[in-house]
Amino acid sequence: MPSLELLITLIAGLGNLILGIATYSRNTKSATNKFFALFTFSVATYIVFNYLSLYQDSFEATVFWVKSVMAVAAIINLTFFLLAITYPNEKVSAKKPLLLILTLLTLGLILLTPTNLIFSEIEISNGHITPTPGVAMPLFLIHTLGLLGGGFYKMFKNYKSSTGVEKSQHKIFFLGAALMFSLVLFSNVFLVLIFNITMFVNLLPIYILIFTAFVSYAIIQHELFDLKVIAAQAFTAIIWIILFSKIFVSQDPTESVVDFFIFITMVVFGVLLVRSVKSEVEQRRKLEELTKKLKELDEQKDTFISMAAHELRAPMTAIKGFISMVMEGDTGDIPEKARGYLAEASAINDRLVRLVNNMLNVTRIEEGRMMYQMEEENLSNVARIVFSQFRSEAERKDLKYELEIPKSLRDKVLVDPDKLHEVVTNLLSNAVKYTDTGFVKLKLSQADEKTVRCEVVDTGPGISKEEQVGLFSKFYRAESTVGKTTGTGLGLYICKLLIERFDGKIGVDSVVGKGSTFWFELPLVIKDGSNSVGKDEK
Amino acid sequence: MVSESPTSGKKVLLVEDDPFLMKMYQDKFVIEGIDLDVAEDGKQGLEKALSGEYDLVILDLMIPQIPGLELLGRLRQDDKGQRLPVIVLTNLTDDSQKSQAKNYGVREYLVKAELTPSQLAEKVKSILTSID
Repeated sequence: MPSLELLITLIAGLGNLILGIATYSRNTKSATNKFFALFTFSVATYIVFNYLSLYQDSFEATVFWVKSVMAVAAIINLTFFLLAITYPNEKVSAKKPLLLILTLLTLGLILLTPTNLIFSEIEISNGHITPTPGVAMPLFLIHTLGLLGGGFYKMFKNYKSSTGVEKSQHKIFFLGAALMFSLVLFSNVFLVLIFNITMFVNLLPIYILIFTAFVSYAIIQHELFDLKVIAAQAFTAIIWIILFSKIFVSQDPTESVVDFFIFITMVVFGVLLVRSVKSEVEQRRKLEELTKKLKELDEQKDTFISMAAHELRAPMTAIKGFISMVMEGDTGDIPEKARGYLAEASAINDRLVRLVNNMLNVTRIEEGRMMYQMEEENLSNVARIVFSQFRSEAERKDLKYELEIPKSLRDKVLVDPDKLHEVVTNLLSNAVKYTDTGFVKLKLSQADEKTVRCEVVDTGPGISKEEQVGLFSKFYRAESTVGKTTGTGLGLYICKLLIERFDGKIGVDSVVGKGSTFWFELPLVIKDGSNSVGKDEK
Repeated sequence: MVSESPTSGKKVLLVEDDPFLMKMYQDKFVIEGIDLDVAEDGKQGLEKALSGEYDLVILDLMIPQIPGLELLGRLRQDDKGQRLPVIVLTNLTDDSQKSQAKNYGVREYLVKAELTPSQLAEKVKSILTSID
């Protein structure tokens, strides 16, 4: 069956070539990839020469190809050894003198192949080629055993001492080798000797192809994307080979023509397929690179933000400090108007301080770098402390200022007390800041059995329905109702992030012209026994 | 008046490398009648803190030679510095720094930019009166 053998030869030969080129093109600088390419080329040549040696009409031609096969075999031995001692490194680790000696030895052996020293006689009868070993044959055997055995021994040693990715690369190499040898032993030795079945003997090139495929995969396995392209290329190539050989195998000329057009069509589709896979892979690689770059930029941004925050705070500290000292009279009396200006300057400086704080906090919370010291805390404790902080400001504005905590309130919540303090401070300071007449009330209540509610009620300008929607998002300001604010646009956003972190809800109810109620609710820590506040406070 | 204040006879060390801030706190503490000495870097700060002359150390964290947290650690390893009251006064607000400082048993962790010199002086006075 010459056609089947031709097919096997073509598949195995071209398969090896493709794997060699594909692996080499992945990293043209790596010695492993170079040696692998040389190895696959010599294997492909060996397979083709071997095929040619079987189908020659003249005796001289047959002898020529049989001897050429031996020459290529010597090259396979050498390239396998080089691959084995280098794999999977990018640099050749072997010493130069050793490489030189081995190369010279192999060259010598190749020069011997045309002579009668390797094969003293070649007999051909009934299509069977029977060579008789010559005097130099033991030399050839030593060369083969030495290089193949030495290569495998070195591989095994490297495998033992390797770790991580390298170890798995070695493992795949051995798996490929083991598979190849077991197939050879089974089909070319076991089946032949025990059952006298020789039909699988010719599959040898395919077994070699399996091995080269494993090694190729092992070399580039950390670049899995490429495997897709290689698979598409190999798949296409195999289909081409089958279709191409079918043109010549078919007996009928009409069938040949049809086969030819099918082949051409498949060439076009094959090229398109490989191209599309390539572009997909290319895009994914670009995406990976971009992701990596983004991560780097993100880290740089983090460092920049914390450095910038620190550097900005130093001058703001000095501005705040010196202004406060002048205002406190440390430099003697100052005119009332100057005091007013200084107060403005100080307020603007404070706004900068808050802006920096808020930016840092937002970055930390959003990136999950904020550290929370979660504790059980009574909401009323936090409320009382924050309430007292704004009493003087509320009194200065002549506002009615109230704290309402029911006697029977259960208010133990699981929070980071400092952060909860920040939330209540934010809501209450907004209420006091934006309310000019009327009252500001901080009110705690039981939303339901499992939830405590905190409300900050004011009689300020109120916020329109439209603006309420965006109120808790980043950099949002309700400018139309409260005018050009002095806020950072981050305070309520941070409140929302924090309350949600504590498994709570936050919101606002407001009517323009009447006032606003900012509220949040937190889940209670439910335990046996009461944790109520005790007595009503007003 | 100054000699009768509760802080009289007590000495405070400020470790601060920013010349503007150093001058600001020095001026304010003079007015407030607090005896203040300064160190410009961590090395000097550690030496002075271990001299036994001071009742309280105000420590910046971003300082040259020996960083603030390292200074704090070395202070706590020394017999003389083990129980010395320390206020951290910094513009670093990372939670990790805060918790490290608190593990060293500092009295307060204050953020410079959020505090006026007189507010700091108040804190210092209250700590000085609490130790005797």
